[in-house]
Amino acid sequence: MSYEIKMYQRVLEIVNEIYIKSQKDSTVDLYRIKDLINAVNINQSKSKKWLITQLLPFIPVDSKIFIAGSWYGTLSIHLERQISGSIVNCDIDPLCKHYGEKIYQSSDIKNITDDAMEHLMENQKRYKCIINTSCEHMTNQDLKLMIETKHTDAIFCFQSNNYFEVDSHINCHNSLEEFRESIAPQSSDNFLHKKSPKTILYEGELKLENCTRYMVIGK
Amino acid sequence: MNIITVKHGKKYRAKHVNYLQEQLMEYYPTADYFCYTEDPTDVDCETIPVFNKPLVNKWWNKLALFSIDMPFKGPCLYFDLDILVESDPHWYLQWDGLSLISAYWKRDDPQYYVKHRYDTVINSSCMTWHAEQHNYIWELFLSNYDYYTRKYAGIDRFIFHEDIKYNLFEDGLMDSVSNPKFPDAPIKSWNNLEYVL
Repeated sequence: MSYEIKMYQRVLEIVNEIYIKSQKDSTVDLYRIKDLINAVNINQSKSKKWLITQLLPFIPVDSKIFIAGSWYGTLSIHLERQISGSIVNCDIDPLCKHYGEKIYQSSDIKNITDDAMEHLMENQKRYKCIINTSCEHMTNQDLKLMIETKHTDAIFCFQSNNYFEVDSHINCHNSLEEFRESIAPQSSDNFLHKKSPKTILYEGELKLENCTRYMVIGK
Repeated sequence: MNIITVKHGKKYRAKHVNYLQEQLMEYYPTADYFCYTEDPTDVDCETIPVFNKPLVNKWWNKLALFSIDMPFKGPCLYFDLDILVESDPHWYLQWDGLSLISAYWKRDDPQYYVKHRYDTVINSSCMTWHAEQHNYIWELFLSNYDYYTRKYAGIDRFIFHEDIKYNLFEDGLMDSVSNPKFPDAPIKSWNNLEYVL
């Protein structure tokens, strides 16, 4: 059985557990079922596979990878088998760690509950690759700071989208260029502030059912 | 007393804030008027800038009003910007904890009580509370705000389902334009309809 089938099977088992628990306990959060299913839907799967295809050539050997706003950690499951280093999943929702570890466990993946920005401010230099597929949920100020304070050699791989209609999306963009300029400006304004622009290694778009996803990989 | 509005995004403009204040000044000339907004342009009353973190969209900003970091002291009275004031709402208002409107247009329909729908039969178009006494609501939201904004389609549902204590105003304070029932109500709400000035 493939790792992906195992992942889906595990999510279904967790959904079943939540439902059975809710039969005896009216306080059980049934929305968690929908959230878990959303985390493994076709758009999520496409976005993550796209990320891995484009990012893999740039990931340094044996590096420690940080995933900001990792949700239930499904990206790390896809990524782990293709890299030689280790991964830290970080999400502010404490139940992401709980369910993430129920879905998959590995000695190379660590799940932590924290504000990604605050964690990075204290541990920035530990990571050689910073992935953020939740940029639409975070402020531009935080995203820029993540990039500006990263280890000089570290790679960043950030994804956002133009899905403005979703309430929890506080930082969507109208185009790939707009997204790139918001996190790693290449324009001359940047030189005026005496900051050298980050090297862009890849940038691209992925058309999905409800929106377009943008990705920028840089150093 | 503090009379407060929230303007965030592009749906409502400064003229909605100013017109609401103009209507309320007739009944509350000595109140302190505030607008919590990211864009204070042309707003006549005192404005409070939205918090930088967490940055939230539209109506979710209403929850920040319960934060201890707000400049309010004493009783607070909140109105949505699609409210029309037709007479003095004073007789209906109470400051016994947090008070909201009973959504009479939903409350008798069993579908709104289906648990996993996470819907609500309360409405926050008008709210009253005492400043500094409900910071726990904001703290609760902060504890997992991204999840809450995915789970609930608005703050009414958040308040209804997250074990937050609240009271309801007596019927007759507000008439919903899309579901009229109280023609003599002091305030009318354009809930979910376009409110053009």
